[in-house]
Amino acid sequence: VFVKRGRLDMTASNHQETIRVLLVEDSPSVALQIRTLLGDDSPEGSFALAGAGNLATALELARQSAFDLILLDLGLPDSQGLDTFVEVHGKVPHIPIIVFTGLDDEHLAMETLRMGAQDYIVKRDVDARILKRAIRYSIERKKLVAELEQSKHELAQKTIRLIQIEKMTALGELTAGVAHELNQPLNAIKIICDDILRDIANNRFSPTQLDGSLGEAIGEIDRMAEIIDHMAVYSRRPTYLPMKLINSAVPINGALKLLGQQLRNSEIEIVREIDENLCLLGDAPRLEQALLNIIVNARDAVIPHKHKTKMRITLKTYLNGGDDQERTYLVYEVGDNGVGIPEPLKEKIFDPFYTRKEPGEGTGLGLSVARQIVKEHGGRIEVDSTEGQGSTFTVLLPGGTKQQLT
Amino acid sequence: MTITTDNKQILYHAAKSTDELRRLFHDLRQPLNAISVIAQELRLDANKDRLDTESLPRRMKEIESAVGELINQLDQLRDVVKSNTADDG
Repeated sequence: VFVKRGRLDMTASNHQETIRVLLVEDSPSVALQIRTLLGDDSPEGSFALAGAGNLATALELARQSAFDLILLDLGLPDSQGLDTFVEVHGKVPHIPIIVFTGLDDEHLAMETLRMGAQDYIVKRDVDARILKRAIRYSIERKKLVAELEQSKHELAQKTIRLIQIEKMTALGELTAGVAHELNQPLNAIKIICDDILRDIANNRFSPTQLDGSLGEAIGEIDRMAEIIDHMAVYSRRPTYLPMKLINSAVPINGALKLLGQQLRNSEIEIVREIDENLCLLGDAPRLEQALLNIIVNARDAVIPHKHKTKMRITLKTYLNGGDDQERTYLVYEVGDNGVGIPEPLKEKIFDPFYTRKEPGEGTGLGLSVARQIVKEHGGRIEVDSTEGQGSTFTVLLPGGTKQQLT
Repeated sequence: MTITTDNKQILYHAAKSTDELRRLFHDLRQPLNAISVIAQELRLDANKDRLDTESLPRRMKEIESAVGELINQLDQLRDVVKSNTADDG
């Protein structure tokens, strides 16, 4: 596709085609020179020139009619230097621009190349051959870049859908598990109802007993609600909406708001080393849920050690350059001095429905959902653990200081 | 990576099924909440000794019918998964 549209088109279809050029130049003599240079009809096709002597006219013309290319002098009566380029490129980003420059401001022209100009030409050096070639190359290059951008976009879209398929497969397995999980409490509720109805029919019914039975039923309902809510999160389409810049302390404070009292009641000490200056792009409620699940996991890991040691959960945030140092990660660290995780289970703990708790106590979805959410934020979770001494969960997310991200 | 028309269709189905699954999970909450509300009301009445024994069987039946609805919805969930697996194969 690229070869056909790119190189072949230049020789084949540009034959006798008119290239529409907007010349933005305040010096009448230079403008005349350019007109003359582009004037003769060449075998490769001709040029149609429209001229503008200042920025306002140039923008007006570019808006009104379609141009294939803009030749732009940066020094205009109503705009100077880089601003001129930024203005024009910003208004008509799809039109390739060649910048005209004097000998003394070549560095400025180089700067425009970095900002998206296709080429620059030093006014004194310009001749017909150089100019025409620059124009043709610029138009073709811009076309290729646009096609490349389009392909990149399509590839990203396809990747997103492939991730969805993968998730769908996982979801299929999950759903079968969930349906099974939900059947048990449902049957329990059914039996409770039957018992109550039978007691009423046989006149053996007592309010105290009803209270107890319904309490049981409500317990089952809560368990079901927890499973369903976790599944709702899990089956959500990954968000590709632009995420918001949030302070990294927000999700962790949110999680502690929900859990703090409970942790204090269990006499678990919370050590906080939170850097309030760190930020990340993300969805605060979902990150809060991920961190909450990890902290709940830490809580359940320290409680069995209640009589051995002072139970402690450490929460830290800091920046980490990563192995390659190319990317800065914001790290949430959740450490505990609990039971630890045996080596063979370190990957398994993230599997949906994997739990080491007693049946009915945990859904086995907490860490799985946490990992899902972190993944959607472009991050990952790592685990370091020593059996009998404790575990450290490290959540790495793309982030940085507020200054870096704004 | 080439995406053929066949693949496109699978992709389309996958995305659709995910949405459907999510909706079905969401729908489960409704009968569940209904059961929860009735059970809590009855419990409160029982505790305050103002239980209406006349309407009690009817309310218990309401719980049972919500349970039945949930079981139906779970079956539907299983069907979505099953048809989706069949698509993949």
